[in-house]
Amino acid sequence: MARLSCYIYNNKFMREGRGIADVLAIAMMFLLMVMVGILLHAYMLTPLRSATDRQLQLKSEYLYKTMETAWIEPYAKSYLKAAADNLVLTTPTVPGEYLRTVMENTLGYLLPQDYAVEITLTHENRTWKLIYPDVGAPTGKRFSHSGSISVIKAEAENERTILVQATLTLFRVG
Amino acid sequence: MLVVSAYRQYRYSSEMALLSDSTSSIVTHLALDERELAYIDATGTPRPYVIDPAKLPLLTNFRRTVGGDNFEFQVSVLYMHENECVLGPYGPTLQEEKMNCTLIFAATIFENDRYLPAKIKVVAWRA
Repeated sequence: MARLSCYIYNNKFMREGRGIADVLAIAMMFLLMVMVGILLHAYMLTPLRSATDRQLQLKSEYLYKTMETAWIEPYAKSYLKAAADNLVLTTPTVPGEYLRTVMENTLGYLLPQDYAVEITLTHENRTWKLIYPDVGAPTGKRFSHSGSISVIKAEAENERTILVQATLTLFRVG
Repeated sequence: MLVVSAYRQYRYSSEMALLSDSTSSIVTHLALDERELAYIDATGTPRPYVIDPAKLPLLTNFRRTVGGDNFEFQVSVLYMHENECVLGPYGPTLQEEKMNCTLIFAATIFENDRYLPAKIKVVAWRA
């Protein structure tokens, strides 16, 4: 009788032990599934964010090219060329104040919503800068495109070609 | 359920990213290729990023293959001349039930012998 009760006790213990192992395995699998779900949710927007970044980089390039090719009315001169003239020439064709106003109006029309732009032209130690809308220096992710603008400067009897470095940076506001 | 829903969301965002990249590719092709919309100046020099409005009504192929996938698109060009002028949309009717991507890029348009700032708008979807 004592033998029989001992056998039943051991068998019951083994069955209970296997039950706990099963429950632990199921719990682990459940936890694993939850973690996979959380990871998928966390990373699912990564391809979309990357695509948006690529799109914004391309937008900054197109905006730069537009500023480089489109003319300021009523002058037959591009926006960046007029800004470069303002930086290096003593008597530029397009007056500085007018250039800034027209450039701001055009950028207001062309800029993507919630984005600002910084245009910087540099030559030696001189800089021409415009930030529109005026939200201060760029913060966060920046999408830049650079190039150079040539300006012909008359000096005494000679003409000199000056290269001005131009950079356009697109950045998110707020 | 959680994993299946997350996987579906992941596939959806990947599809959107693919559509965005393909639309960017279509815009670039249109704006840079002189056989598409890029302007050729009086000296015969192609001017990438400058749209020739005369070429817009001549566009007949609104289907593109990008990375082995087929897409259809609509294109319009918008520019400011006193008021905003809109050329287009050109292309097949937008299929609302299909996922689509709209991209607007800055460009220049050669209109009335002047280079004016403009916007090129492309809406693309899977064919």
